Amino acid sequence: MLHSSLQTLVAGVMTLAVAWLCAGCASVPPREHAANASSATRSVFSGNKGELVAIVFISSECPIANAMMPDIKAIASDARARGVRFVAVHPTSWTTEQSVVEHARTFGIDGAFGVVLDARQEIAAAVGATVTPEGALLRLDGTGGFERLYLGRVNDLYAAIGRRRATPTSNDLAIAIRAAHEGRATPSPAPRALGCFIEYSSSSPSSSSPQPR
Amino acid sequence: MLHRVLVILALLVIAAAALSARADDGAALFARHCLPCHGVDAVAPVSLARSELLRRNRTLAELLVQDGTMPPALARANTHVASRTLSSRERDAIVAAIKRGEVGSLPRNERTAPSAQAVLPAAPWTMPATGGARLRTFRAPVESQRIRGIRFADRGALAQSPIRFVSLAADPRGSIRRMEAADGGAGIEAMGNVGAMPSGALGALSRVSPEFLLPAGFHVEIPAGDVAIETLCEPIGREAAVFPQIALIPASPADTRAVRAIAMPVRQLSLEADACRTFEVRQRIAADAEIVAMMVKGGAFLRTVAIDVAGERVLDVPDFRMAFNEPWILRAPLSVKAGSEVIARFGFDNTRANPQQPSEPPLDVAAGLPPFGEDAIAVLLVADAVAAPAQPTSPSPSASP
Repeated sequence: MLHSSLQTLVAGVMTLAVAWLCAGCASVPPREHAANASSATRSVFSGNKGELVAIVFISSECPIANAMMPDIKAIASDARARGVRFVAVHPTSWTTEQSVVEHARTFGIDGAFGVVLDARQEIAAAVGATVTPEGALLRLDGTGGFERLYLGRVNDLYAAIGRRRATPTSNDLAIAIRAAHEGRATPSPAPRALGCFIEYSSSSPSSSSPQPR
Repeated sequence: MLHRVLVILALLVIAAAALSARADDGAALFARHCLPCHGVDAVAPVSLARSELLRRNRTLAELLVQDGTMPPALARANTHVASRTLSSRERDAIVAAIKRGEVGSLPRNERTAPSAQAVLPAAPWTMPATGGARLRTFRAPVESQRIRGIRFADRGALAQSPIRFVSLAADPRGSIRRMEAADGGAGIEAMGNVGAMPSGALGALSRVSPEFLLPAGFHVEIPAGDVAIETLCEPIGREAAVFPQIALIPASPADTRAVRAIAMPVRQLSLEADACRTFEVRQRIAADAEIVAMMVKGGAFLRTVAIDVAGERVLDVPDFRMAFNEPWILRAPLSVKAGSEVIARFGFDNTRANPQQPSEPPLDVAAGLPPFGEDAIAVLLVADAVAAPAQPTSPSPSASP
């Protein structure tokens, strides 16, 4: 009963939050403030037209995100084997570059894929992320914009807080990556992510101009 | 006109006072119910010790308090078992405090915890970064003594530890030591029962309940030898040392009543794929006794537990989850007459609806260790009933002058 009520609440809030953040979005044009965007933001969204970029939003302090690091590493390896760029993003204003490096070393992901500190939360806001860990799959338009193909849970390792499976039974982000790579439709609607909410700061793009449009 | 202004001012003052009182309540409730685990020296993986830390997790904290997931309370409250379950008013007040970023402060602990001697395994074991829950039993040498309880000796290390539940049993003949020597590792992958002595006979600990203290007047006897430390762990995404350090809280001379364990294991456990099944374990109490504490252990398939004593529901766990498990010390020792029956009902779910189902599709499950096997047990800690004081006899006629 606790579990179902938690799911309902999380689902409700997530739905509202995502709906608010992503109202009417299917694709994202180059952002007006791209000139002011950080180099980290530009590096994630820059690439050739049609290029696939997989992102996982993580947080060094989120136990659910940390517990999924081996799974995320495996997904990154699979993605890269398919020519899909893979980036992990810390959408946290309080995280330092040093703690990002330390976290990557602690969880054995340094060198496995790119890890970006999104202290201004530009990447998270642009993609519409609300939770860590949360997976996204983008198709770049070559001009700094993208089409979002997937935004949702990485896998079902956790069904609720305090409910961890031995192994995930559904690898949702990996399925989405494979589908997009093979030209098939990605799962829709995407299963909702469960974990630690991204607390957008008042100065982050999400609070002034919800992205993506 | 002046009259109206005064009335409005009075109303504003009353409203401000009410709001202030409510704010104080919320912060105090947050401190009382959240900070013991999420404060300084936190045992929970997420710290909310300061406003700045609370702000990082504000939305999640609000949701989990609002829906009753936090503070964790597996057992329903009744006349025998206390629960951390909050009223909706308390939850609302805490959520309001969270919104304001007020963490309050923990009241000073008035009770002076007795000094404790720590028992340590010989070496740590390394938990893999991934996979399912694992059970590891360590052993540590101990002298003969009476204890009133146990607690984690390294409480601060729990926040980033894979350890979820620890239960102890006396191992005076060193059986775990011999198995460990044969295995060659630190600890053994096995349950911590020692012969007929169930793990938990010396108490149990979890992150939710990092101290286990019997009521005043009771103690557990530990013979010289080893203690077996059964440790349930969950992967945390990186390899991590598992090194349960347990402090033994000595009994005082006034703690005269010895507590012993009654084991109620589920025997011949088997779960068919795609099916739910309830096992009933019955135990008759041999002599008048008092039940002091209860604990339940199970794995990913255990969903509900109910324990009835002499026809009365004493423990009711409608949504078991091992990550939030804890031992339950009863509000007051429960008197049971000789011949009374204790019935423990364990409900298992091996369907897809089980949120911790490890297999897709579900597979048949046999008795065994986690993550793919399943076992469950209830352990009661009981003491012999105190003999009723002799009734004063009326003076014998022959004794009268």
